[in-house]
Amino acid sequence: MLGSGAMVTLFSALASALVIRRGLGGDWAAVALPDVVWLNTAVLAASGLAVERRRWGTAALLGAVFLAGQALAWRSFGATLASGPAAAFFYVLTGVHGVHVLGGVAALLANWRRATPGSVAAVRIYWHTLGGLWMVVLCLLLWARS
Amino acid sequence: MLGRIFSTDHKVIGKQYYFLGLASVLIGLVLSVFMRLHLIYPDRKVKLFEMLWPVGAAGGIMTPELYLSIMTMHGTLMVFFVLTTVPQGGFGNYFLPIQIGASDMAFPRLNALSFWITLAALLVLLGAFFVPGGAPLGGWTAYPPLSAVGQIAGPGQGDGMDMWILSVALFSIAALLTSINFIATVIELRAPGMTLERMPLTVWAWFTTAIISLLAFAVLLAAGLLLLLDRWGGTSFFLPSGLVVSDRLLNHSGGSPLLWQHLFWFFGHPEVYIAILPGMGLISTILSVNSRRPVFGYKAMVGAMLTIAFLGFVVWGHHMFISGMSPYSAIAFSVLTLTVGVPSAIKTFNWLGTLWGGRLRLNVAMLFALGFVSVFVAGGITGVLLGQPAMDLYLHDTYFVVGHFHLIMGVAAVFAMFAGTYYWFPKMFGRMLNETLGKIHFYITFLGVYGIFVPMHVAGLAGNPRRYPDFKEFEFLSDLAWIHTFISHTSFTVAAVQLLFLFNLFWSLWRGARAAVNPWEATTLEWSVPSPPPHDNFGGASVTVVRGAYEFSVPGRESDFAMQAGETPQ
Ligand code: HEM
Ligand SMILES: [Cu+2]
Repeated sequence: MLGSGAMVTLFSALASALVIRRGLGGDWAAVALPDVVWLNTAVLAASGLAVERRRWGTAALLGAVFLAGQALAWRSFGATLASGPAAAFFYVLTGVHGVHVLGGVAALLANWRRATPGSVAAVRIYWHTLGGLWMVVLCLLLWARS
Repeated sequence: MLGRIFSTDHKVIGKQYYFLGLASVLIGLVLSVFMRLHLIYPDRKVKLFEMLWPVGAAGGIMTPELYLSIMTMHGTLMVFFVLTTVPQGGFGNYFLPIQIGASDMAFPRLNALSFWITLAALLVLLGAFFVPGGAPLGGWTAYPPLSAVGQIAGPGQGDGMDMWILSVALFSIAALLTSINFIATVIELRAPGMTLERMPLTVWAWFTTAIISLLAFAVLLAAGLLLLLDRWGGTSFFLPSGLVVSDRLLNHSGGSPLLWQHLFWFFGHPEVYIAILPGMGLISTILSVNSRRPVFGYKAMVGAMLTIAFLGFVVWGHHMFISGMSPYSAIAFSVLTLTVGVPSAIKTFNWLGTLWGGRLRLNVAMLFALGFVSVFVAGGITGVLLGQPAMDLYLHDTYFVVGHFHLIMGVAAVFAMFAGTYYWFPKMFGRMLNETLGKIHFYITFLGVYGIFVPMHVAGLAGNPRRYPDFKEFEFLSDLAWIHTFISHTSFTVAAVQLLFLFNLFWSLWRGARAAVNPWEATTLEWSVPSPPPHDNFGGASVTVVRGAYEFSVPGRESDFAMQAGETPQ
């Protein structure tokens, strides 16, 4: 739960940076979001369901698929980190989110091996926070696209 | 042996943090002596400088760049590895579980991990001295654009700056993990009977500080990441268009250095409360124990602490009054800043209320606690002046600010650490520190810090800018030369007296008189267990807490204090 608090603040800081940065300077170049992110969103949602059913292995697998999908999104993204602020935020937000998902997959695997009531509660909250944050990131990126 | 070093026992980890902080404060102190030496003898050849920095001090004369890098390392070491590390990581780790009757932290392995990450952060920071170009020059605030453009902004702004950012990022991660641990421990692991209203103020302070760290360090981590991307990834978060550095036009565009200032100070102001709140909790306790009176206004103390924590997040703009912000925002930040004075005044009033009519025991811990109150008030008064935009316009970036923040943040927190050392050393190491050496240490340090930092205010009022390697080019500062001479010599004295403290510390570790279980006749749980406490703190006995933390001189009782623990666990 507390870890989630820190994550939410971290993303709030990045989000406010995005909002402010967008308001600055007239160099905001719109970038298209790769289509694969929609598929990834569905995969992440499915993994959330799996967590609710205590299918730790399945959830971890779906988490890994999500990460693979995000990697694909990075490859098919039409701009580089340095090509403009919108592109930079795309990489930063998805990258930071991805690192947290990676940690989450590790935690899911740990639960798959051995779950205690404490770890079940912690992993559930963590994973759902990541899911929620992904929706926020997605909204920010959609807004950044326009 | 390895088992002891990589221990997950919170007491071992607490001591590890303490000694990490001690090493850092010594390095930081030596660096400040170098600065003060250079400031008054800018042209003197110093062999030692040349030995340490063959390039930066070729011929024994410190270059301006070297001065700035020493200043940056001094500030960074002090703020992160001393003020943030010792009160929370050191004393907090050691005493929080004991004071709430727990056998360890909620996540012992995570706790150990945090320590090792902190140590790595320290080594990375010190490593900056050894990379090509040396340590960064940008101050502990690392303002862009010059922190974001690399070597062209100065020798240390290349690899040295990368090391700095990496170090701060590691430190932030460790601080986040520690905070999670502290909060979970307080919520989950309190012994039966340890209600919130019975928690010692130290526990409240560590708890509140952990909440602040959790929010503040996440923001610093985000800011550091963006800065790193500006340096390595070619992004322009903090870099505007048309920037020319060292005659080179950079091809960044559209970013703003002010964005960094907002993010940094959103962390930076709460950071000063991270440094001072644990001290406030401890000082409240020491004053109460040594005046044999309950803490005056316990609930108000808790309330004031929480209020300060909250207000700390809405005043960051007072560091940016001269950044071109709208006067309306400036007024808002100013009013909020002055509001912080209210809970601070409540705390001070309650400290005096605790002392009032008490039977004072002037041991060294008590002296440092009284010293804390003194410098906190002295530094607070100038804070009220700086909190007003009209005043800050003139005083910003002068020695007035250096004097102010050293008193309220640096010295106050360091006094709290000294108080904590003299108070808790017997419990941590099973031996007493020498009180006579301690008193000499206290009186010289106490007078000395005023001798160093009050004259700095005067220099600042006269317009003396900070972060200047020397003042000899400036006609209007020539009259202040004697003030700087005085400051420097006082600071050499104060630095020398710290050797006495070190001697006392290490001598007492092996030779000090054996400490009893409760030498100060205090009431909190750590004083019910042996000195030092056994591995799981209470030797397997289950603790119950039967009363509040500050029951001193209760009328009608035989003894003038009553322990929190129901029965003394063996
Ligand atoms: C006897 C003790 C100390 C002395 C003589 C001393 C001296 C100095 C000096 C000369 C500067 C550079 C000022 C400038 O050129 O603008 C400085 C900066 C600083 N000091 Fe200290 N200091 C001492 C202790 C501390 C402590 C305990 C702290 C902990 C908070 C601290 C924190 C800082 C910070 C944050 C800076 C600002 C660095 C920057 O500008 O980025 N100092 N100090
Ligand atoms: Cu501030």
